[in-house]
Amino acid sequence: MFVARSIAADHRDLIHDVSFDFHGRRMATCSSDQSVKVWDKSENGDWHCTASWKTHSGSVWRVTWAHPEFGQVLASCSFDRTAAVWEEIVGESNDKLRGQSHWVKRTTLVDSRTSVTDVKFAPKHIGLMLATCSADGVVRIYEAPDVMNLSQWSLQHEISCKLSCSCISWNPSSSRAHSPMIAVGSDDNSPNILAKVQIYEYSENTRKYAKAEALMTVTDPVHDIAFAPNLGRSFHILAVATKDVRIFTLKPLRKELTSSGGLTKFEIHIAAQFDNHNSQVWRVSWNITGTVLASSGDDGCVRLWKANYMDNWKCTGILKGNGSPVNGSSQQGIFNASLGSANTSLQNSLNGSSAGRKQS
Amino acid sequence: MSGSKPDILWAPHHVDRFVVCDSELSLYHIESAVSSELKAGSLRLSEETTATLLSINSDTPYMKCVAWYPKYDPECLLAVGQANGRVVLTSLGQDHNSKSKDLIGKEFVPKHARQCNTLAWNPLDSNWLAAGLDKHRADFSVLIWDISSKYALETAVATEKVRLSAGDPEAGLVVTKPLYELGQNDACLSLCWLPRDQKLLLAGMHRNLAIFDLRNTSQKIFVNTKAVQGVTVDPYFHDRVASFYEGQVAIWDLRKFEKPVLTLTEQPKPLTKVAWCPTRTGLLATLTRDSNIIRLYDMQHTPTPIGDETEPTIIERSVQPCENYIASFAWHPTSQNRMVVVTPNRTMSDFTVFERISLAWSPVTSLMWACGRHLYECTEEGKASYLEKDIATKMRLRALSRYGLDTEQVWRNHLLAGNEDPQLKSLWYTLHFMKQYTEDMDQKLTGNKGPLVYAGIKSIVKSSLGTTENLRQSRSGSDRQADIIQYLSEERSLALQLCGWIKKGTDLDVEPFLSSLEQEGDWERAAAVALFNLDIRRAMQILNKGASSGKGDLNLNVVAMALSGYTDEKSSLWREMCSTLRLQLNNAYLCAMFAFLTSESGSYDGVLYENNVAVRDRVAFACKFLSDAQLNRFIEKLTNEMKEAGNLEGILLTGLTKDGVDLMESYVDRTGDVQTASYCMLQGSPSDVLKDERVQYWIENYRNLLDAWRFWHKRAEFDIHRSKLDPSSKPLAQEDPSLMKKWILAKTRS
Repeated sequence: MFVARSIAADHRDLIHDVSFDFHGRRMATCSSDQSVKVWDKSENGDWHCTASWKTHSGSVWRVTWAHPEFGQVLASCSFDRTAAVWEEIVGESNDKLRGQSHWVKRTTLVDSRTSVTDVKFAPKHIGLMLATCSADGVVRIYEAPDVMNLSQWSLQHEISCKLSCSCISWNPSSSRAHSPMIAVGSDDNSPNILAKVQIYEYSENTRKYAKAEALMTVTDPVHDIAFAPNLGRSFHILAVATKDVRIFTLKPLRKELTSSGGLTKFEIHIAAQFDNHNSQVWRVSWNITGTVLASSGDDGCVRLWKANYMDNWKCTGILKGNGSPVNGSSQQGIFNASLGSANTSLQNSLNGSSAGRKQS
Repeated sequence: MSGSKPDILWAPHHVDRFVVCDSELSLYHIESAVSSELKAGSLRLSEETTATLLSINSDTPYMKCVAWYPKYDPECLLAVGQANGRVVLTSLGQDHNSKSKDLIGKEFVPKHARQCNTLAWNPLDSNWLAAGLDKHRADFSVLIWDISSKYALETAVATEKVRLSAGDPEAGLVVTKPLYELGQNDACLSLCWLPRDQKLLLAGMHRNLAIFDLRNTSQKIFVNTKAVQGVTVDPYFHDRVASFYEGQVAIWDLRKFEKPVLTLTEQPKPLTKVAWCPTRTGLLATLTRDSNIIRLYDMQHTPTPIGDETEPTIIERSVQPCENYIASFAWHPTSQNRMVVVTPNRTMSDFTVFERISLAWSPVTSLMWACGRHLYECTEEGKASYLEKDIATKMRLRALSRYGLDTEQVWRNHLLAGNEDPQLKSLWYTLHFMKQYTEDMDQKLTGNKGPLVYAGIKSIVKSSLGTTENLRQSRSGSDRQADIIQYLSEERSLALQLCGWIKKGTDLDVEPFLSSLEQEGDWERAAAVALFNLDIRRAMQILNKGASSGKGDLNLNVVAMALSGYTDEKSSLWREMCSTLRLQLNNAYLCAMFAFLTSESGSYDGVLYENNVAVRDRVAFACKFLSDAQLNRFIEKLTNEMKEAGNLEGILLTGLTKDGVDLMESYVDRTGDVQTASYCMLQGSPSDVLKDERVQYWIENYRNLLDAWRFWHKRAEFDIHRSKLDPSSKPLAQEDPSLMKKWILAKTRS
């Protein structure tokens, strides 16, 4: 049974992202109040905010940790069209004596012309790399060639996805059998049937990222996307938050079967699809083994999903957004169950997500 | 609020109260109440809240609009705008302090009667009440009343008019002289005071939005637009204003008031209400006619300064608070994102618009999420049974219990793993027997089967072709009839050793194994093994013992009795009965026993394909009773099944070969248990399997998990274990020298 407790976050506005470091001992949060906070876990398990600073001049959408091998490094991205890399300064200072840590900006990545919607460090074995995606549909991959110098980042790749990007996820597999790979989700909500999840793979031959797959069955706006930790599996698992929760498995076909272009071909299966949130699904997150998925939806609930030994995925827990348990009958709560089956006009209205600017 | 459609207003300060107004004003008190209990006279608004009607005021007919006095005291003072343009101050409840006594019943009367469309209290100077009226020729349509006006003084001036108007008995309470008169020759549809200066009033006029400056009433700023209804200022960004016209909402920035900064997607039906959320930035709720949906626009960004061309991100959401059409809604003034909605037939519901939740798993399996401005940490509590636990938790616990590290009593590792998983048990016994055999070989320095052992029974059996001897024996152990052919060979007895049936050497004695099974209370299995070794008396003895043991199953006696009746007669009644009743037995071993006894010579499918009999017992059985060709076919088939299913019992067959890695791959695909995979494959060393990329990848992944959990000692133990078993592995992963400084820095900070 899962029990939730509240932590005084003290952000002055909405929190958009929560992110753990590699060990789960540190946590970063970011908010519309334009700040990032860093939290450290004390021995008794309590979280203490040890740094809070203004990072951007707009809402901060996402924050993420680099592998600790590269130091204590964070990246953030914002509505202000930039992404930034931050490093904790080590040394005895007044801050440290007060139990506070000090973070400095190492670089600002200003290539995007629109809101930067997601930022993610590449898996450690690829090197110190950072991917961003933006509302104008461009995924950018930066590299710090010298890991000792975090102020030097070069833009290595620009991938044009054509559709407004909302989220990215690196394939975490470090197997030599798997090339670096990144999945991109789009929240484009214009009425089209374009695939809203695209997967790009790095090709050693061309030294470029090229589109390996597109999940043609995902045509509704995608809000979040997450590869499961690979954990030695022979296939990849990808969770997609769209109008429902979807779990895909991507099994690389053996090299001899793939085309001569060098890109991996995949056998893609949809392992699960759940509309229990009865509304848009907002976020998905995998546990460390990629065996339990947590999702959140506009029904204000957090749900846990787990596969049994037969590879059947089931809901194994529901909690309300305020941490209180959901009692069976009231599961639908105030977001009425009828939303799921209502007429089409209602359905369409629920699918809406972002409105562009219209001048009158 | 056209008399039929109710509107709803929260008290601005006494936040547990709200008013529903249609033809009368009803004051409700809202309180939290756990489900099921419902006090008499109270209405349920949500799972957690109920409302009680406190008072009703029907003194003011022809209500067109209502506005709640913005200051804390007097508590329940309301201004009501009427169809004839009069504004009346009225009260709900009992607060009769001196201040409210002076005010209640006061009326503010325009020169010409016409509908009062809107009212707005000045938030700073609460004596000022602005009223917006319909057009009447060249008259003013925006009147600002001072509620503290001394009516005694006014009466002298306006006695005549008062007398004309309805002959009010309380004529003394009528005020006819407004403080300011604005909007001449126009109509006013909506009003709001601008927070940036108490003298600025924004008005939705007939065809424009106008900002009146009371310091200089001759001037006004205005912009022509149709969106003149429901003007409202964003409480978080005082330069941002929303207004609407039919199905369209316009958002204005007062700093560049020439045109809307954006227009929200048009809705098919006319809007009836638009309101900014008072507890959170940039959330605008809208309602259209004949709809059960509240549409929310989430403008999550700071309004950009003038000249910035960026496109604002707006997240559009719909919520459905109730089944029926919604007449009106009101945000709670302080509770985060909470509102009460009211339907045309006055049913109400209290609900909260959930913020979008972002979440993250920590490596130590707690889940953190952010909802609005709050953070929640969720951990698994209470004792879940081992089987329900996720593999992440299992591996952590197993790492702590030194799972995989017992290299002497290899079988004990399954106990360290929690002694709950039959597949793990089988795996570690297999590895144990393999190790035992190799050690015996080393000691004796005889035979050449050493390398074969870790190659699994499949390879062992293949190598035995042509060396097999036959032996005829009766099933009953008696010498009456030799109808059973047993097969013997060095390889087969090696296989039996790996299955655990016999101990070292060519001595085929299963007695030690039977005794150990008896000790564990595994009566059915023991009996079956005895029978498969053609000792029917021993089998019956075991069953009797089982029946009489502490928590024994008395049915075992019945089974023993059935066994005792065994006959070789092909057409006997016994055979017929057993064949049919066998299928009703619950225990797989008992089924297999009768299948064996009733089988035709040489065809043992009832035993071999009894899936609930342990693989090792079926394989041992096959090694005894199947001819070389049959045995090979059976082992091949079973191996493929095991590989397909990722069943660790199959390691017995595949050994630690490429086949074994294939099998382990499907096990890892299915379970994610890289820990078992790593430890298992290390047991086979030195061998080629460790060079398999997949195996190295599992080891890498397991070490990475230990790192993430900060199990430094466990990882060191694992590395030592690994270098002991696999000398070819690098003693320590060489770190990139350029990272050493980072590492040192990281160490110094902690």
